[in-house]
Amino acid sequence: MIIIISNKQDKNSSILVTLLLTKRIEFQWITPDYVQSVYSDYTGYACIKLVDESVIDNVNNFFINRIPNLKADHPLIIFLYMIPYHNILTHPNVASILLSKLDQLKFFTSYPKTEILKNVKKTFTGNVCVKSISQVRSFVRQSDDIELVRSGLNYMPVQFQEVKYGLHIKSHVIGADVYSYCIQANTLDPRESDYKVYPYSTPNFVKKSLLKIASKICVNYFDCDMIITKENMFILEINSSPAPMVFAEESKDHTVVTRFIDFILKREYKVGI
Amino acid sequence: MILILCDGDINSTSFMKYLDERSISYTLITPLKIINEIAIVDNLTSDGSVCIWQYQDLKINFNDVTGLYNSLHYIDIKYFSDFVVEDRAYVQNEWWAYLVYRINDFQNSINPITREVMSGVLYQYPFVYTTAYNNGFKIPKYYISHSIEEIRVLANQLQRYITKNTIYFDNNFKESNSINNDTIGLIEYIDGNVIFVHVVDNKIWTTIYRDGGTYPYKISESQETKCFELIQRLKLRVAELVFKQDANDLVLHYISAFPNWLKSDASYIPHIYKTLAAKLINK
Repeated sequence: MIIIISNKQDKNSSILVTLLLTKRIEFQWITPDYVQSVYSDYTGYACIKLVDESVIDNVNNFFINRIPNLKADHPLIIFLYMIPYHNILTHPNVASILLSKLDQLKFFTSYPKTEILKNVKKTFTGNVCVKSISQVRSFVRQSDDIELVRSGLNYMPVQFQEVKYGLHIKSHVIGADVYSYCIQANTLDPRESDYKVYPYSTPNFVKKSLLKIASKICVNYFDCDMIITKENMFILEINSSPAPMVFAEESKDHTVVTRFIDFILKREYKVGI
Repeated sequence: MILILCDGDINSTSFMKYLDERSISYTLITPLKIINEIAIVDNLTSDGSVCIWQYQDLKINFNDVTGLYNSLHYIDIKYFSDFVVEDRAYVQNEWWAYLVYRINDFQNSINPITREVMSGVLYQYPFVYTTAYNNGFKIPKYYISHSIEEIRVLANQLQRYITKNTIYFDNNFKESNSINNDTIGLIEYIDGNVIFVHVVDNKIWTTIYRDGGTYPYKISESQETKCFELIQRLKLRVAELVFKQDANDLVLHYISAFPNWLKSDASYIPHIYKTLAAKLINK
């Protein structure tokens, strides 16, 4: 059975639930507070008992995990760790590979010039943005947001990245397929304003590049933000917990949805770590 | 130049004493120094990185660093007590995300911050035992349950056990004789001598704890091979493996990416430090 694990507010999960109901595909949606206890033993078997006394095990189900941060000692997180990698989108251990936005740059062949500064005064020429380094409180701002820069620069490393102008593309890698969307927004970080999403036909060089990243990180399901200019593509970051349902709905293009369902039902998810 | 990143732990201190006695130069960086004193200019392009850390008169250009000995596995939140409560975890994560990149970007880091260290699973016995079992090691039986009634039944089945209140190792492998309301984990208690295995790349030192003393020991070649394979699988360069020696076999109890070298037989320690120093001097 498909088990969706998320908070009730997660938009991607609620769209997916509607879809699975329409297609009459068996599933269960659980939130952290439904979990009463966990059991696990040395054979690799683990299960959770829910508040209604029903039991879900880690071997005979496929899990879609959309819980970003959970306290390490919550029974659910213990259980998530006990699920075999190929049985869960996204295993917490897989998510941790991409914890640092700087550490993930090593997987890309082309990215904007990036500089980390702390306790140093510098005037940049050209347009530069400030980005968080970790995935916690992820943000991108213009570097002329002086207060933000000042507040951090003396006691924490601050990431500055050259702003590239071009099309902002978000691509979803699902197995060997890539589905892309063009994001139009008035702010550097689309999440900070109203933005529009259009389906975008993935150029071959982009697809090739993303599949190369997939083989480097040994995961065939993730999304990637990039800027495509006339001459080049610059990868900004990748994310191990995509929300393809949200992009399908916002762009009114549902091709990705069919592929995603197929991907889960045929158990095509591969993790090589 | 050798760079040592540590928070004043006893192992790093002992290793630095060895380096001092042999006049091998190194630079010590503590979290306090990084957070409060060091200026950072770290440039990344698709062609590589150039990183300079500067504090007082000392300029550390990472291109001149030959080896980085790292015993930091996170940055304690205590260093961020000047921040308002709601910002502390964020600042801590920004620092850690930077250091993970910096340590891993450097080619000769001992140890790099592997994904299992990043996620914390390397400190959790279910993960360690599953990985060790898949690598052919014998492991103790263990159970995790949030039901105290179930824990009592399982404890009765095991008869001899170690209780745990979390799924993390806490270096306590003493036999327990009671269950309390916080117990969520049970690990089978196995009688026998404790064996410490210390690994530095392709070298291995084995110590047995017997009759109140430590002695150099030799495990079989096939056991050594399995140790190397497990360490490689976890992408570690140095590690500590702790075994219990039962009647027929070795039972793996614990793996650490931050070895306590002082648990090794005293005769081994200079050899371990010599090997580490050589690895850090030669880029």
